[in-house]
Amino acid sequence: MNCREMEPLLYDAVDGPLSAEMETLVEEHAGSCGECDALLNGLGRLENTIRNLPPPRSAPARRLSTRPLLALAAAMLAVVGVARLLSTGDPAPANAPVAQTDIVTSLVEAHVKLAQAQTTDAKVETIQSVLAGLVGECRHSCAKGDFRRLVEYAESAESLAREGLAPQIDAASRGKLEALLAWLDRTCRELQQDRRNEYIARVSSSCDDLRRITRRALEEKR
Amino acid sequence: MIVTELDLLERARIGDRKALERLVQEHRDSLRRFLLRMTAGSAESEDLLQETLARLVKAVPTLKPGSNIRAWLFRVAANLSMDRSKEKKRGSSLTGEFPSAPSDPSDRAEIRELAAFVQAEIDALPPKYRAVLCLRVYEELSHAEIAEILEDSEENVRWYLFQARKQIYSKVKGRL
Repeated sequence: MNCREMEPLLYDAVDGPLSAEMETLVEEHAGSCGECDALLNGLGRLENTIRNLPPPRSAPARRLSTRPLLALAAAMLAVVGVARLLSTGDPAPANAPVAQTDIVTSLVEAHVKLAQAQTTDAKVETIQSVLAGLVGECRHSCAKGDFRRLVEYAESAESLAREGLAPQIDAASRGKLEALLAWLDRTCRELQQDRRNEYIARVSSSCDDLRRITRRALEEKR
Repeated sequence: MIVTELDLLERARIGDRKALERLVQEHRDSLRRFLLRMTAGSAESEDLLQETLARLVKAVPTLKPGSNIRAWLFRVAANLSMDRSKEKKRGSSLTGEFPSAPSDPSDRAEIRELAAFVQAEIDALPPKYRAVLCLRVYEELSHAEIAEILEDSEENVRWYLFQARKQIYSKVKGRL
C-alpha cells in the first residue's frame, strides 16, 4: 500500500479504533515512512486539540428573529407581565416565587398545552391558563429590568400577528375572542400611557398588532 | 420500573405532557451544546434550539411508534443550523468568542492560540462537514447514527469526516 492509499486510513485511525488488520497495516507503513508517521502524529495532536476545545460561549444577545410556531402564549405573557407591572406600579414582592425555568422550558410547556387543545375554545382557555402559570417569571423579568426577554416574547407576537388568528376562529368561540379583544384593548391603552423605554414600546406595538388581527378576524366572521 | 425513551415517546404521542417534557429535558443540553458548536457560539443557537423543540412538540403526535427521537431532534437541529449557515455570507460566522484559556497552569499562550485557530477552522468548514464532525467528536455518535440523523449513507459520513479533518489539518499543520 502506497502513501496515497494509506492516507484515508491514517485519518480513520484518529476517528476511532481500526480493525486489527488495518491497525497492523498502519503501524507497519508509518514505521517505515517518515512522512506518514509525521502525518499520523500531527493528526493525533489535532484530534486531541479538537476534542479538548471548550464549547463556545454564547455571544451577547442580539435582536432575535421571530418564531413561527405557537408563540401566542409567550407573547401574551409578556404583555400581561408588562401590563401588570404598569398597573401595580411596583416590582414583584421579594418573597414572590421565582420561576427557575428558562424561556425554552416555558415555551415548550406552552406549546405542549396548546398542541393538546382540541378546540378553539380549549385553545383560548389554555392560553389563559398558561398565562396565569407563567406570569411570575415575566414579573420577575420586569422586576429585574430584564426587558430583553420581554422583547423576545414580543417579537414572537409579531410573527403570530402575521400568521393571523383567523383560521382558529369559529362561531362558537366568538365570546371568548371578544373577551380577548377587550382585554387587548385595555392592555394597549395602559401600555400607551407609559412608553418608558423602547422595550415597552416594542411590546406595545406587538400587542397592537395582535389586537388588530383579532379584531379583523372577528369582523370577517360577522 | 424503568421508563425507556420509547415509552416516553408513546405516552407523549397520546398527549402525556409530562412524558414530552421529559423527552425534551433528556436532549435539551446536548442539542444546545451542538447548536452552540454549529453557530460558533452565536446567540442564534438559542433561537434554533427553541425552533427545534417547538417542531418536536408540533410533530410528536405524528411520529411513528419506535421513532428514534434523538436522531429526529438532531436531524432537525442540524438542518436548521446548516440552512442558517448557508444564508450567511462566508466570513461572518465568527461571532462567538474563542475558547477561554484552560485553567491548567502549564498551558501557554501558544496552546490557546492553537485552540483558537482550530476553532476558527472548524467554524469555517462547510456546514455539513461541521455538523458531522461535531456529532462525531462531541456527541460521540457512531457513523450509523450520524447517517440516520443526516439521512445520508455511512460511507458519505466517513467521507465528510475525512474531508473535515483534512481541511483543518491543512490549515493548522504548521502550528502543531
